[in-house]
Formats: sequence, structure tokens, C-alpha cells
Amino acid sequence: MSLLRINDLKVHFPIRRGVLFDRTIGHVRAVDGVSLEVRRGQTYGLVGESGCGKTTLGRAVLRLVDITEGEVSFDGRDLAGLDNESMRRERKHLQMVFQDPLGSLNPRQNIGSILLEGLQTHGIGGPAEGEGPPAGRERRALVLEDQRRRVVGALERVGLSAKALTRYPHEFSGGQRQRIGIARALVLEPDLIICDEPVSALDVSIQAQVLNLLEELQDELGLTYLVIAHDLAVVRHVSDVVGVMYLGGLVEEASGDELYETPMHPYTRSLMSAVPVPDPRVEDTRERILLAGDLPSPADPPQGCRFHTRCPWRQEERCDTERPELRPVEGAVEGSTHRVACHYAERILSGEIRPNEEMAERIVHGAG
Amino acid sequence: MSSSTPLLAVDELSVVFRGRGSDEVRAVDGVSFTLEEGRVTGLVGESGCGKSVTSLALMGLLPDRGVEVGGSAVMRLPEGRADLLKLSQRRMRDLRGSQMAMIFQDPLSSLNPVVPIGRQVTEILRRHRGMRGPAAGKEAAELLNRVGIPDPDRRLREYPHQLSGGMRQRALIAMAVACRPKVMIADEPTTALDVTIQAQILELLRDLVTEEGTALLMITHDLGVVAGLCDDINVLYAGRAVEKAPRAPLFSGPTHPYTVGLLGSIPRLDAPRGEPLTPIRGSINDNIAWSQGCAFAPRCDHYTMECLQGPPALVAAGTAAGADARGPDGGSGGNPATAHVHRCVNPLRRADTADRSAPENPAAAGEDEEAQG
Repeated sequence: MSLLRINDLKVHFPIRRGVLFDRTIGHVRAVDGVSLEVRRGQTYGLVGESGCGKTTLGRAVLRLVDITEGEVSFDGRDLAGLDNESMRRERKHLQMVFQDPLGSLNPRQNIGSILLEGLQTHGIGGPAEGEGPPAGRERRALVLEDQRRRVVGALERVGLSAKALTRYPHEFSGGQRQRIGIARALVLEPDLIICDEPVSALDVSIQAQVLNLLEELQDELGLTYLVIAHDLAVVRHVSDVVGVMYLGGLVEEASGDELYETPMHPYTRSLMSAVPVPDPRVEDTRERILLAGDLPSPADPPQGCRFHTRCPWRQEERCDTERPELRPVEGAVEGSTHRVACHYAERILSGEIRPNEEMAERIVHGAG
Repeated sequence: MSSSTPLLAVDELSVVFRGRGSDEVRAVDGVSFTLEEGRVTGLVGESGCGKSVTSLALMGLLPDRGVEVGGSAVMRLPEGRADLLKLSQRRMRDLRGSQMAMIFQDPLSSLNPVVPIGRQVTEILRRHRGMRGPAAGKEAAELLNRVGIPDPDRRLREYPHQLSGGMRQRALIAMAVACRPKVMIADEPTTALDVTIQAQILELLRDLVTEEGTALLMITHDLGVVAGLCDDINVLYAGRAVEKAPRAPLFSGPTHPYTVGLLGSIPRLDAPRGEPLTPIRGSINDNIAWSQGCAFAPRCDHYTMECLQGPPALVAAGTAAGADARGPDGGSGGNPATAHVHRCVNPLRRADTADRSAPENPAAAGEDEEAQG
């Protein structure tokens, strides 16, 4: 059962220019027609390079940016059509963990007040409606006590103690700050947590601590994650399903293992071949596809397949005229959910279509 | 080219920062390594381990006041050998750019935002090679072409903000190689870049080393980058090398618990979903001074009381992996450039780490020997 369903989501930012009157002279198509489903209790990993629209997609789900077109349905409710107040109330079910743990914590608020803020905003804690003492000092004390209990509980879940409550963000190390960011999301007991680059600002040994923590919390609390990251190895490690984005669109989606075993889309293949593996034997023997050039501008994306300007497997027909849809892979094993947005994916995989050596800067064929 | 004296021999380099009214900070605490022509030496470690300060000390870029640099860094120069740490400012200015060059992590802040790329490249040609006017412009265009920037004549007229991140890093590399330096120091050159661009830049650096015979000192936190690029690796922790080895033995049989911990902390692309990571406890702040014992002991799962009895010495790793490191000529363990050494009194044996080095491709093991150079 899917908890989050995104259908043909588009987020376009207008480019304005003008001295007296702003004229819209174009749009940056940050997210341009993405459909995906996140199942309850699972982790969906969204991977792509900077500028591919993955962060904008995550923010659009929370309605932190305006949705241009498309549907976002969360637990059966459509978020795209909600007014701001209803969306604000809905956000207690969807929380976000940000990349920069220092930048996302107010330096002048202590940890206790940072964590309490969400509970107070959403009026969580204390005796249920119609129970306990009537509104007044006594009831407020009960509410505060319950909120404090929840905050301490969340801190302990992420491996910090109640001593942290009166301290300030600068007193903590990067890893601890990210734990506080996670505790802030957890305290509201959300169903879905969107993690935007949760570990990329952290040192290697700390990254592993935070990744393990996210896994533990998922096992204990049955959380659903949408993990957004540029590091394919991190995404593969945490995700049940991986979606690869390129220039505002999803180009491939499959279970992590399937994606690693048989990457179908040329972009996925080159991305995978570029991720360094800490093992010289693997590094020396594997296939390496070096893409030429940089990402095209999302304000003026290429016609047809977005990747055709850099694709070593580009064909004369269809690639530069017809945008491929994300479609199930033909001939995949039973029960596979592997989807790819490439006209020629199967023929590339079978070796029928050979890469054009001139298109890629270099293709090193693995010895193994 | 004499193989007996290395191109650059760094011996017991130390850097101490002494702020007024604050405690001294030993950022680098006795680091030794050598650079050779056509080889890539890696300095690996997390933030705060002293890897960047090492490179700044070698380039003579640390401020004079409040900093004490000790040890020696003897470089083979055209006119004879000289200790870089003792040269005058003026002499260092001549060497920087012509004999040694540096590439920084953030290409945008290393370039002057109000000066076109062309002038920044020709400045080096003017300063060190005495080139002027159209000749310098032509050479600059050739340099940009060499590092894979398409349409170099147009790019030379552009400003840094008009270039993408990968292009900027290429432009910096073009400036670094402008005078064919003997030594190139790259401080996290790809950390700010996307992986596909990172792959392009690493390939470019690899080409420069093999074609020009440059000695590259690669400073990075990314063990994946190290595995693909470096010949010899120094793992730093709290200002000292804790393990040194050629890359093949380092990755197949790491012996220092910190190296093992680092390798266990990285999610690997070729590992299945959910394979547990084995992180290192605590953070880099939880260490003790080297003078009292092993700085890593508070975070180490293998520490004994012996670890806290004074500083551990750098000793040969007496494992099977260590023996491999000496290669077919056997027993030449005296050569510090190729030996596998660690700074640990209770190291992990190879059996403990065997699970990380699953030999799925035994045929490839033979190729590891090429790392001997």
C-alpha cells in the first residue's frame, strides 16, 4: 500500500526580467513530470546530481515550494489542493530532515525549545480533548509535562540525553546536530520523513552512525522515508526502491539490488560507473563511462530525451524528438517493478546497440 | 632521475598553532612521507586530522605569526636539494607555480571573481615563463584545451561565475600545470563536484601523472577516490599517520583499527541493501594527546591498557598483507615508501578484517603488483 503517491508533478520557477514591469521570460523546469509511489514502511531513495530537481521534489511534497501542476496524495489525501492552514496541520504527519544541521537549527534557541516548538504549534501532548482538568494553569502544567516527556523520549531515541535540553546548537558536533534534527522530526511522531542529504555534511565515521540510526528508527517505529541524496552508495544502502533523476525527470526506478545488477538507463550506467568504490580491485577492473560535458540548463532543457546531448548510446531516431516515458522494462523477471525512461534500454542491455565512443569522453571497458 | 633520493621527502613535519591566550594546537604532529615522479601519494583522514595544514605548510602558505613549523621537507630542485620549510618567502614565490602547484577544494573561491579566466591563466605564464601578449594568450588557450575545456578562446574571456563547477576546477588545474610543476598538491579537488564530473577530473589528474610524470599529493577524505587513484596511502588521525601502505595491502588487509573503522563506515555501492555499517564510536573530539598514548584509544574497540602508556611508534605491520607489500623482491622492508607500517600496539590481524576484503575476483590480485611502480 502506498503512503505517498506523486502523479505527474511539475514545479516550474518563473524567470523574471524587467525594470518597471516584471515580465516572465521563461521557466526553470526544476521538476518536470515525475510520478512515483512510496510504500508504507519502506524507504524510497531519490538520487541525482545537483540541479536534477531532487531537492525541489522533496520540498514540493511538503508544499515548501509551490506546485505548478500534478498531484501529491498522502495517505489518500491530496496535498496539492490544500489551503495553507490545512497544509500546516497536515505537516505533523510529514517531517523533514535537512542537509546542513547547523543551518537548520536556530542558534539562539536551546534544544528544548527547538524540539518543543513543533509540539506546541500542533497542540500535541497533554490529556485528550474532554479529559483531565479544564483549561487553566493546572491543565497547562500537565500539557507541558507531557510535551517534555515526549521531547526527552525523542532525544533518547537518537542517542542523546535530557542534558541536551538546555544547551545550544553550537555546543554540539556535526553528528550530534544531525541527531537533533532527526529528533525534531521524530517528536511529532510523523508517518513520513523526508531526508534531504541527511549525511552529506558529515564525516565518514559519523555518516555511518547516522545511517544506522535512521535504519534503527525505521525498524522500531515503522517509519517511511523519502531519502534524497547525491551519493548513490548511500542511497543504495538505505533504500528499498531507488529512483534516478536527471534534469527534472525520473529516468529509472527499481529496487536497489536490481538497479545495481542491471542498470538499464545510460545515465544510470554512467552514474554508477563514476561512484568510487573503496577497493582497488574493483576500481581497476570495472567499466568506466565518462560523460562529456555538463548538465544542460533546466531553463532550456533539450528536446526529446533530456539525456540525449550527453548519451553515448544516442540513436538517430526518436532520441532527440520524442521524450521517453518511464515505462516497465520489457522481459523483466516476474514481480519486478523495474521502470526505465529510454526508448532503447532493452536493446542497449542486450548489446545490440553499441556505445558511440566519440560521445563519451572515454569508455574504459572492465577487464573482469 | 635517481631513484635513491625522492623528489620530495617530508620528514617529521609538525605544525603548532599558538593563539594568544589560548592553548597550543598541534595540528600536524610528526608526519613523514615521500613524493616520487609519476606517483600519487594520498593523505586520507577526516576533518581535523591535519591533512590540509600539511599541504599549506609544504606550500609555505601558513601565516608567520602564531605558527611554528618543524621538521623538514627536502625537495630535489634543478639547482640542488633544498628544504622548503627553510627557504625565504621570495624563493618560495618563485617555486610556487613553477616547481610546485596546488589545487584547492572550492574552485570558485580560488579564482578571482572580477578578473577574466584568461588573465588569471596568463598571469602565471607571465610571472614564471616570461610570456607576453598573444603568445601567452595562445598558450593559455592550449592549456585550457589540454584540460578538456571546449571552446577555450571564448572561455578565456569569461569570468569565473560564467563557468560551471567542473569547468572552474579544470581551469584551476590548467593554471596549476601551466609551468609543468614537478609536484602538484590537490586538496580535496573533487569534493565540491558531482560524481560524474568527479570522474572526469580524476581521469584528468591520472593522465597528468602518467603523461607528465608529475608527483601528485592527493588529499581527500574519500577512500573510494583513494582506491582508484593513489599508489601510496597515508591514513592520518589527529595529526599523525596511523597507517601507511601501498593501496593494495591497505585495502585488502588494513591493520589499524581506525583504517578498518573508516572502511567499515562507508556504504559501498557493491554491497546489498541494509548490510550493516560498523561505524567508529564518538567523534574526532574524543581523543587524547599523542604524548599520553594513542589518540584514537578513546574511540577504539581494540584498546588495551598498553595503548595509554606513551605514544605508539610506527612499526612494520607483521601480517601477511605486510609481507605482500614488499613485493616479489622480498624482504626489502627497509624502504619506507612501499612498506606497510602502522602506529598501533594492538593491531587487527588480517583474519579480523577478512570479511571486508572478500576475494571475489582472485584474478585481479595479480594486478595489484603494478602498484609497486
